[in-house]
Amino acid sequence: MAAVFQFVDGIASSPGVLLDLNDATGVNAFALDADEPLDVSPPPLRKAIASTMAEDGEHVTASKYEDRTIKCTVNLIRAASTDAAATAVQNLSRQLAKETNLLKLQLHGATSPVFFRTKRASAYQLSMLRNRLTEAGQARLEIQAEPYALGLEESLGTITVNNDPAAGTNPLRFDIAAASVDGDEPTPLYMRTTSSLAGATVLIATRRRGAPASGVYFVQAENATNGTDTTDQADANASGGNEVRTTFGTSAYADRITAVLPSATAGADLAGQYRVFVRHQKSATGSVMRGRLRVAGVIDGPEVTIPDSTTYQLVDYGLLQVPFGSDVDRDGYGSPLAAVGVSCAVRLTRVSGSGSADSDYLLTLPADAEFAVVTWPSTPAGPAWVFDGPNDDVYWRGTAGTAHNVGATGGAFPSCRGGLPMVSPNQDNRVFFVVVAGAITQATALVTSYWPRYLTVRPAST
Amino acid sequence: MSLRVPISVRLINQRGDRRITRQLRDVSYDAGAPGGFKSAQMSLDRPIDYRPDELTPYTKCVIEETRNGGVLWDGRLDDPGRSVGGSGQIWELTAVGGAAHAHDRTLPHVFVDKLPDEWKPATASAKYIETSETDSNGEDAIQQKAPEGTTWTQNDYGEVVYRRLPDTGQRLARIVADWDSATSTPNNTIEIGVSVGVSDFSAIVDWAVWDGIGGNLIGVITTDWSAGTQYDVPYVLALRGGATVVVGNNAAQWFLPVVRTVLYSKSGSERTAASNYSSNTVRAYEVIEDLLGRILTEFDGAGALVETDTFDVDQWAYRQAVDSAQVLADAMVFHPGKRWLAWERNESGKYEFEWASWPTSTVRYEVPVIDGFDSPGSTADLVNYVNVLYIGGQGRPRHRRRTQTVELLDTAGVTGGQLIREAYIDLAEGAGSEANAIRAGDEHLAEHAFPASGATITIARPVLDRQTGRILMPWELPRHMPGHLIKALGVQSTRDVLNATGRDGETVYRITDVSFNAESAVAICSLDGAPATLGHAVASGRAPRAAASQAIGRRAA
Repeated sequence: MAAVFQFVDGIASSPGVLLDLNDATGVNAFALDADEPLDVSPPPLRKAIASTMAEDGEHVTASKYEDRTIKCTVNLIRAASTDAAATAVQNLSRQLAKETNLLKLQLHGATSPVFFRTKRASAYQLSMLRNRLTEAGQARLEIQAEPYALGLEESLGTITVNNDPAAGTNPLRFDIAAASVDGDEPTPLYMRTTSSLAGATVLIATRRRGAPASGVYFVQAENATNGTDTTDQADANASGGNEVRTTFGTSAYADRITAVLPSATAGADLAGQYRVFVRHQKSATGSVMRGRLRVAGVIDGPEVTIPDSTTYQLVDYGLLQVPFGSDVDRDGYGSPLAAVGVSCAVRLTRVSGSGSADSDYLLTLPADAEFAVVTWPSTPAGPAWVFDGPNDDVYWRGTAGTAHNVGATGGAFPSCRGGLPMVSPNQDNRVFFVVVAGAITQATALVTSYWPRYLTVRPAST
Repeated sequence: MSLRVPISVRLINQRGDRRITRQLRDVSYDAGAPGGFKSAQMSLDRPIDYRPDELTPYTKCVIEETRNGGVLWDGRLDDPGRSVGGSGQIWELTAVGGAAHAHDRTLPHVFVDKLPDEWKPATASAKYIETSETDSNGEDAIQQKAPEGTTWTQNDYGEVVYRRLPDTGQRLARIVADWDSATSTPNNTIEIGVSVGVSDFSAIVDWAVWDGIGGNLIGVITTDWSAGTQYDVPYVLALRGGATVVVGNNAAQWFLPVVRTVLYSKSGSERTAASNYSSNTVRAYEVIEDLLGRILTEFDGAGALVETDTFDVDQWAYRQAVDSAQVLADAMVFHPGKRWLAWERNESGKYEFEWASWPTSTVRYEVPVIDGFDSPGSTADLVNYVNVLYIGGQGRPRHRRRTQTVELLDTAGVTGGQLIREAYIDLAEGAGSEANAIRAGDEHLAEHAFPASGATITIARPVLDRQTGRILMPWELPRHMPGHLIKALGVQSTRDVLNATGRDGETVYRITDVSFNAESAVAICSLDGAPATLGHAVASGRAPRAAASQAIGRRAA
């Protein structure tokens, strides 16, 4: 099979062809010049570098890929007449002049194509012999395109995430194995669900380094150490059927729950940054309660207000770094060091009222890759809630497959704070999906997929 | 960190919540102390022939960390600029942080006023009772006198009223007349009262007969009048209660006035309990809480951190309208060891606010200078004397001179003796009192006892936050660094303005400004303000510094 090199109308296995640039058997067509190189080199990498005479070497503060330039030479073949040849050139110009376009490339013998999202590239060289376009008409193209070549959409299936850390399957998260992610570079995840998220706030976090599955990301409050005025009790609405209740015999700030976070088990994969949540409810509304996380016995995090609700919801206690106070992950230039969890205390105070505070579990979500807080209005505009990583947006999808971004009654928009999740190839990925005020029985069915990113061309299945 | 800078930019208004990160050419933002989030700049490639919904002025602009969902910068758009050129059609977006709301409203304020110049004779005052300003043991007093030979009719009175509060919209909390009389007679009395608006007297709250000794007449809200009535005009009478008489040469009373206004709590409720007004002074933290509750409604007053203080300000009233930023700047003249900061909006949409002390002995960050460091240094701000100008009663300018010992200057004279370097402070007219002048002068001297550094440090790598135990990246530093202390590792010790008790001879600075640019991915910190002198500013290409202690002399434009 000859190489496929076409402008197409979509990233699909059989897209509509807008212009074939390698139609070796066609008439009034273009074909790649076999003696000229097809340049699909990886995109240039631009770096920001900090460098002074005070230190050997350079410090790369940040880097990013710039747009790539695809270079090729195509010959005009079997032109029936000069007018026909001019028509073919016009077709080429029209495709190159588009502000955005898609260029499909599948090399001779390759199993899978890649697609380049091109940009306007209508400045090209057109040459001919003896002033006759029908004789050796040739175009040298330099087509600007986005840095990554994209593979076909890879479905990860429908994944049901349960909003209970004690669930047997996908408790607050789901895993995407290394073998399930193709590509050369991390790529945004696309998720869509018809499970209602009306009025919900959703936390989405990722851990895509090391062995994410080896981590422990929550501690049941009844398994932690109870502090002042805090005792275990049963609660059918709590994870595992149990919670702890703080009755505030002492109203002032005191340690109510103590645990080593994120886990008491040391490990190299434990290191990182986390955002700590506690699932709270009040026994009755009307009391004013506040909390803060005390880390390592000395550092108090920001003060938070416990929502005035008798329904469980997660409360954000701020960021925690493990190991505490250090960025060192190796022994000199040697082996990775195992990180140790940090002793943390949930401190609560009751400012006014007489209610009690219930705590179900402590959750430590990774906060060093991507972390998003998505808030959905209570009135949706379509049957599907979409977390569109490739387009960095959240919206409803309507019944006709169109995108909406306005509540059905108008004026209410979904908002996304932070970064939507990505997945890494050749690496196990764990994606956390947590509904902040959702019941433990809530389950969200996520139709999940991604488009693999490549720096040049791709192999058959990775 | 050598990957893309993990930040995202959102624009939010009633028409949408849009993430525009991918459309930006560049983005930079900064924060400082005082003020918190200051400004953000970004360029956006969009056609300029129509205005997108998200680019309208006052659209919220939030810059977030994509790794952990935290807020890096929060503010609102100014009216964006547009251009067409070789780079295409570009919208230049500038956003300002919550600190900008301190400039939203320009109003006159009275917190405590003891100057006599706003006391004027009332319409109903007997015209033959003369009112004048006088000196009473060095203080500015108001005198009411029936001239010798005048027939003082029974029940006639001289009345003076304080008329400022109907202009400011505030109401009366405390009125004091520290009075005396030239003679003793039970036939004449001094009386203080309160009124709604400038009208005839309606409520006498305290009085005394002339005894030639004097005393204090005091009226306080809730104790002496109902908090439910909006009294806003205090008055003082010199009343002839006895029979009509032709007076001699001692028919005079005089008094030192003090007027205090009702303050708001930071939560927005009026503080009408009498216990709030038990003295003739006000404290800076009370004024700041009043601003939060009454005017700075964009800030989260209820959740604000406002540190208390114990310095009693006996004169704090603005004759001309000022914005809240000026009031806060004047508070920092009394307390240069404190700073105010406005950060991101909370769930209620209000900016987090704090008025708190600069740390004096806790170094939160230690940063090597290997990515860049510039400290021009200067002794230009070093002073051992200061002259403080303030305007007292009758508009009379007065000075107070203060001094301190500065070791460097003690032997810097030509002959090896003391070199006198004397600064000058012009207190705003409304803050004119001897006590304020002394305070401002002493605080200014303390701030300028050591050579200023005016340093900048470039940070291109992770930094340990010694308070939280977290490693911060350069793009996080504008949010977390301003208002704290930093130690620059690798710099010879140089002392500076801190008088930090925990200092050990190494270099410790206040972090007064931090900016981050996504293109270079580095943060630049200004330490102890910008370079001290114009000469240094020209040399280094930066704007000169205006010390906080001089801000109080700069009235709002």
